[in-house]
Amino acid sequence: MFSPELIESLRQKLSLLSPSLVGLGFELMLAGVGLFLLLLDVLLPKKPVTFFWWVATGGLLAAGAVLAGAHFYFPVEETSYLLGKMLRITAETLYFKGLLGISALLTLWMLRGSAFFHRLDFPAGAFLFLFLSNVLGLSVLAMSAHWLSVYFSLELVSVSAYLLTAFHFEPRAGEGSIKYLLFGATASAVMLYGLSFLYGFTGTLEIFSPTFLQVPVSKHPVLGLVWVLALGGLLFKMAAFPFHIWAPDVYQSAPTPIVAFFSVAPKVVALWVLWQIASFLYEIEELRRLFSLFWAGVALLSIGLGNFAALWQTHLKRLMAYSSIAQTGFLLVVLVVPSPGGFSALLFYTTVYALMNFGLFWGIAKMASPEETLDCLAGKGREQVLAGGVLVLMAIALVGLPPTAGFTAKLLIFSGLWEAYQTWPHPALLVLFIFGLLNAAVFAFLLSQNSFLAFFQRKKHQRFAGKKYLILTCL
Amino acid sequence: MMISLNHYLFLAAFLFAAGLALVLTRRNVVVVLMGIELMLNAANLNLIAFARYDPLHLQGQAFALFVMVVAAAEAAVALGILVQLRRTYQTSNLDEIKALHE
Repeated sequence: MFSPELIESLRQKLSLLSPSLVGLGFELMLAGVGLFLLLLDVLLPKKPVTFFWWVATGGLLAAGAVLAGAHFYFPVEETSYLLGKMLRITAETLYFKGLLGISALLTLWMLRGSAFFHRLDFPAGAFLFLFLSNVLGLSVLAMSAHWLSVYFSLELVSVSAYLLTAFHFEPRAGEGSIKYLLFGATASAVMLYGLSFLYGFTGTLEIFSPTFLQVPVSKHPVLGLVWVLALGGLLFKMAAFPFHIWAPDVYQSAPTPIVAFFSVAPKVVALWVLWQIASFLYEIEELRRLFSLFWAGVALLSIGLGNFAALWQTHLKRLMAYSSIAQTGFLLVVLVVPSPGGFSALLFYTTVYALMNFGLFWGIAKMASPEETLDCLAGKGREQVLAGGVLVLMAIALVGLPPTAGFTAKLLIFSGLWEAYQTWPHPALLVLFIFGLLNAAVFAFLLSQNSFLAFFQRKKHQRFAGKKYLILTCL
Repeated sequence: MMISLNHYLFLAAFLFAAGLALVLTRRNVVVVLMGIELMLNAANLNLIAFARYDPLHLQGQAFALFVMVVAAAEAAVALGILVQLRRTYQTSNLDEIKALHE
């Protein structure tokens, strides 16, 4: 039944795959710990939640140690490919995986302090399994060099995210989850349809294959549209315009630590993948012009929509959702000009952004009452000085005001954009530059007027009127 | 009559459009899921039609297999969430599921 040639070729393929396992240590550890947790959940249902928590945290730390070891195994300057040409590892990929691991640890730490996690009937093993699968998917996504691995890891991230949204069994959690799922599945179907045409144009599904660059856009104008469709799945994960609609509902219904994770990790990793694709495509002048304009448009609309919709929100986490849509816009500005200087701006901004967001959500989780409206923060800053202080500080940093690292990050991004405008004076870049700065400036003005005066006058009521504005400006 | 690549592409485009129309106009969660399934199958059909011209072969076909598996997993998750939703809201109509405030 099996010919000797077939068996021989399978053996050769296996011997090609085995060296890749070293590079996948982090992922294998995550998968192992996740499955172990699921098993423990079935075998030891009576164990307290903290037991599962320690298993997950210990596993994540061990996986982190393996990841740190990978830094020594893979030479910094070279690009290594794993599993055929499915995945590739560079020094930058390892950095983003490290950032992902740190975000996951911070989320676990926040989970330990949340009330829903300690309820008696909470299925902690299954919950942590889903969380670790989400981290695993993001980690594979960061390494992807083939559309199949992009699609597959995106789906792993999405499906576990749908479940995590619904998993704390609030009556309304299912609503956010089903909307997330229907929208996410549609976005991935659109992405697949675009991918199938990219495959048809080039005959390959490898992302960084030179044949992608040989198909002239001027001869096939539909190719631009096809690329946009194919990138839709990543834009959806980043909650960028026009794939942002799910964010407010999901942020409102998911538990706060998970929201903190959603607002950081998928955005950072998807941005990294988009960066790789952008800097690859920009080798061709024609594609560069096309895509610069596309990213400028998406960034502009995300910033504008996020900022202005945020003004009308009264629910704390919906507000954070719109503010994170605007932040996505600022992150996407980096893609307009993929230069080496732009890359350091990207590294700096994503790192600072991750820390700021976790700080902010930690403050919210500490201070907000269960209904999580804006008004429920009133008076809490006096009682919880530390959480209030962190909240205010992180909000200032997210706005991008001078004493904080948030300011440096925005400065790097916009100075990069200005340089790009000088080499290629297209009006769209100028509009993006001015609009982005205006958005930052308008809200910084609101902040200084209301928040700081109120802060120093120390009147309880006024201070919290100020705080409301302060949170409004987390844009 | 020879069935050419174009026939497959047009059929796929029709399936995709029909699926998208279902997703956008229907309000029942199960019907929306059916629409998504049509869209995924349109992409699959494209992938398999193009795989005929792939010098390495099978890339598109292998991809289509993965898509089917993932779609099944996604549908299972969706139905699970729907069961929980029906317990809370007694309906599977998307317009009536709106406790989260706008």
